[in-house]
Amino acid sequence: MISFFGHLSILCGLAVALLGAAASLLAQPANQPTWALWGRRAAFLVLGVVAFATGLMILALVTHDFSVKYVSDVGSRSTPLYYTVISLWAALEGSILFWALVLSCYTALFLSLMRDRFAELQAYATGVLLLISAFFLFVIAFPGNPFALVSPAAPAAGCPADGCGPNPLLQNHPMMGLHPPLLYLGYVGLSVPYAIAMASLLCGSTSPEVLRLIRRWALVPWIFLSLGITAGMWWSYAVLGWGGYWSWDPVENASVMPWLVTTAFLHSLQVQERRRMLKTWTMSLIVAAWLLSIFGTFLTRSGVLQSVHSFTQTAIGPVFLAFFGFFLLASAALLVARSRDLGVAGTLDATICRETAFLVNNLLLVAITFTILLGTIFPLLAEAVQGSQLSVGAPYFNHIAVPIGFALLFLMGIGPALPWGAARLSELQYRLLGPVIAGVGVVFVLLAIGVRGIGPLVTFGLAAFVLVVTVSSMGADVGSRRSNTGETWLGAGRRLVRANPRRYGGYLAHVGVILAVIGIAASQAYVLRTSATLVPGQTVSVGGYTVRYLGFEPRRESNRMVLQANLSASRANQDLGRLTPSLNYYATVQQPVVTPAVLEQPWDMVTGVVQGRNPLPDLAQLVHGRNPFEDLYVVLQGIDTQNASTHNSRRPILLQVMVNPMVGFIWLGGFLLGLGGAAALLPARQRRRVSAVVPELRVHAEEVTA
Amino acid sequence: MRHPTRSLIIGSALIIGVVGVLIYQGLSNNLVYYITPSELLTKQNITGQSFRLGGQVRPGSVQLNPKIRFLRFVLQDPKASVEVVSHDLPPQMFRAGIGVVVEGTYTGRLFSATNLMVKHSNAYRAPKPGQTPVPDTYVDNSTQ
Repeated sequence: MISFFGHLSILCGLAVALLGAAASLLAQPANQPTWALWGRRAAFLVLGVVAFATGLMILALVTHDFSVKYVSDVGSRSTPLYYTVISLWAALEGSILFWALVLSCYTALFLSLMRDRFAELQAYATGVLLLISAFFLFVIAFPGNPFALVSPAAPAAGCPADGCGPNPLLQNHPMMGLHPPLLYLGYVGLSVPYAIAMASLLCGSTSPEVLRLIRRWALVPWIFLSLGITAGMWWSYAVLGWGGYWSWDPVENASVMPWLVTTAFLHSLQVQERRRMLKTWTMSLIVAAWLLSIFGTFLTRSGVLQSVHSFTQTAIGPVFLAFFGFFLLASAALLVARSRDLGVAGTLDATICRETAFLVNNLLLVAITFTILLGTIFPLLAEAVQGSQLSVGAPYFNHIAVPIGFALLFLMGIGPALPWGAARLSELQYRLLGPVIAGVGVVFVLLAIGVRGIGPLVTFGLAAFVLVVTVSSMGADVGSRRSNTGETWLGAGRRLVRANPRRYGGYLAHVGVILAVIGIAASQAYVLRTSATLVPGQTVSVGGYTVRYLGFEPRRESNRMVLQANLSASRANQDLGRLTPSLNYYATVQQPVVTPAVLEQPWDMVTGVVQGRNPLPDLAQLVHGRNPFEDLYVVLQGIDTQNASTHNSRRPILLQVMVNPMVGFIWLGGFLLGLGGAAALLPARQRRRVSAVVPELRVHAEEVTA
Repeated sequence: MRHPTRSLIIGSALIIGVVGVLIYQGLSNNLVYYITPSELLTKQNITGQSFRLGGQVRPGSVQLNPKIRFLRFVLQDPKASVEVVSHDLPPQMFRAGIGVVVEGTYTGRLFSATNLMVKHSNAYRAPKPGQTPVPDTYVDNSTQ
């Protein structure tokens, strides 16, 4: 029943989406405004139908309807309800259904917020969005049908009694309910700015209002991507248990590439808005960002990564590739055909100015994206062309990403200090002197307290330089407003941010990047690790921490067997509490899933402050050369199961203990990145109203935005 | 006055050139070619040479003794498998089921690895259903 109605509703949705796309796209050329209205209605209808189908799928999962193949693939009676519901995105077919749902939600939201503005543009954009929807509905309806039956001939007879449950890695931590949706909201959301960009090319209007529209709709997925990538890193770190957070895995690369290109777009758009330069380039960036999100989905979902030859085993791979190729060619043709109509281009007045900083920033972000793309698909190209098997290691990515990262960080510092148009060198010297002194000073202080290593020291120095530039430009703005209006520091700051949220949201995002970069540099350079085989009562020490093995405890849960080691941790005779890393055996999988135990001291400090504990004693550890921003990370690597006569609680274990410094900075940085993006989404407060009250404010507001 | 657009083009070309060189270096130093176990078994006269072998670590086959730095596991592809021994401790991400590339020599029975790399693209592949778990063994001399 569920299978029939699910498939039927998807087929209906496909028909409606195709008709709606045709109506929306042809409304203008055929001069039939009512067709656009039908396209609009079609978009809402598609949302209804896809939501209904998704509801049916969740119903099938929750009621364990194992006659549906997807449910028998990812469901099992022993899986807890929460993981059963989120298994919607545990495998290919379900996640494409979820893709379509998110896309139709975005389309409906876009149409609701647009109302009757930009009627012509809106019709084209709706058409493009419905075309994308139609593609995904086609995949759901035919090659990747989640509603397919286990045995179509005899549904009742072929129904298995139980399924094997979702991939253990996906039911090992509640975060799985948050991390994929965040990334999907990012990937799918890029369709909206892409559709608006295409529509603006189709109707030949790139007015400032349209650019603002594209920017706002590009910021939304950018925020979700930032948060989703951070959540993915956290998941990799705190759930997968290999001790790191980034491995240049194709899945990670697929998520970071659209983010990088959207970041480049958000920067180049400012040049376009202010100087009328780089129009075709800016449009190409948002097109590329969306294409990369589709390519990422293809890459991670088609099985092509295992082998070039495996991707033709299902029809999804070729269908995805055809769709990608079609949109790539169509977008490129449209960009080329319309690039002359984008209006008169402005010219560069000087070599050293903010435009140049943005240009170089764009070049570097695109270069880093190209590097990652090349490294990710190189094994596939080699296998397809030469027939040889090869693998591109993490050193390749680091070899290129690290120097480009340094250059980007440096630009992030000088960019805000550079004026638009042309810079006077004397003024630049005056503005950058303080930050440069701060950067060099930080390096010397760190050297004095015993920090070593060229890479991290350069990073910390650059970070200090950028931080001082950013904070001092904010401080200078607040100070001058304060002296103009006589407001308090806080009041002036708040009103300034309200008056120009884009600028200060951007600064906040920069601070987030700096924190993340500090965290990455410190955790990569100063990680300490050791492994040891312990029997109960024995201890292992690393980096001033002592971990004692208390005993071993097997525990049965509904969906898994948990083998847990009980440990106690201490540092300089101060008790840090219990740690319980475990190995989890799921019935259907051979290898155990590792759950590490992580003692996140920065986080403990934050929760301590919330509970009214004084953080100063913890921070004062710095004076003694002890870093209070460290994570103690313990992985249970194995249990000696050979000697059957040993009592369970006395079994020897193999333990890996790591001290990861400042990883918490990455999580905080990622959060600030999203927060900065959200702040930049706020509408700027109307200046006219304010200036009526305080006349001199208007002058100031213009000065700030200029 | 120098033309700003021209200096910009020169600068961009310079940046692209540097990135190109970096990519070239990165690729030529970090490409890891390998053969699979089934290819190995069809090859003759490969004993004595150093080469790279890539495949999946068979779950349940890992034996590790960190005290005497001894690691033994079975590397498999869908058609064949080869037993691998190594005297290096495995890297962080190494675990049963993961894709790895090992470098070393083949004696006709055992592959003796001098270097072990975790292959990125095969990590966290969805598992095959219907199998019972087999714990890997970590031997400890002090208790036995």
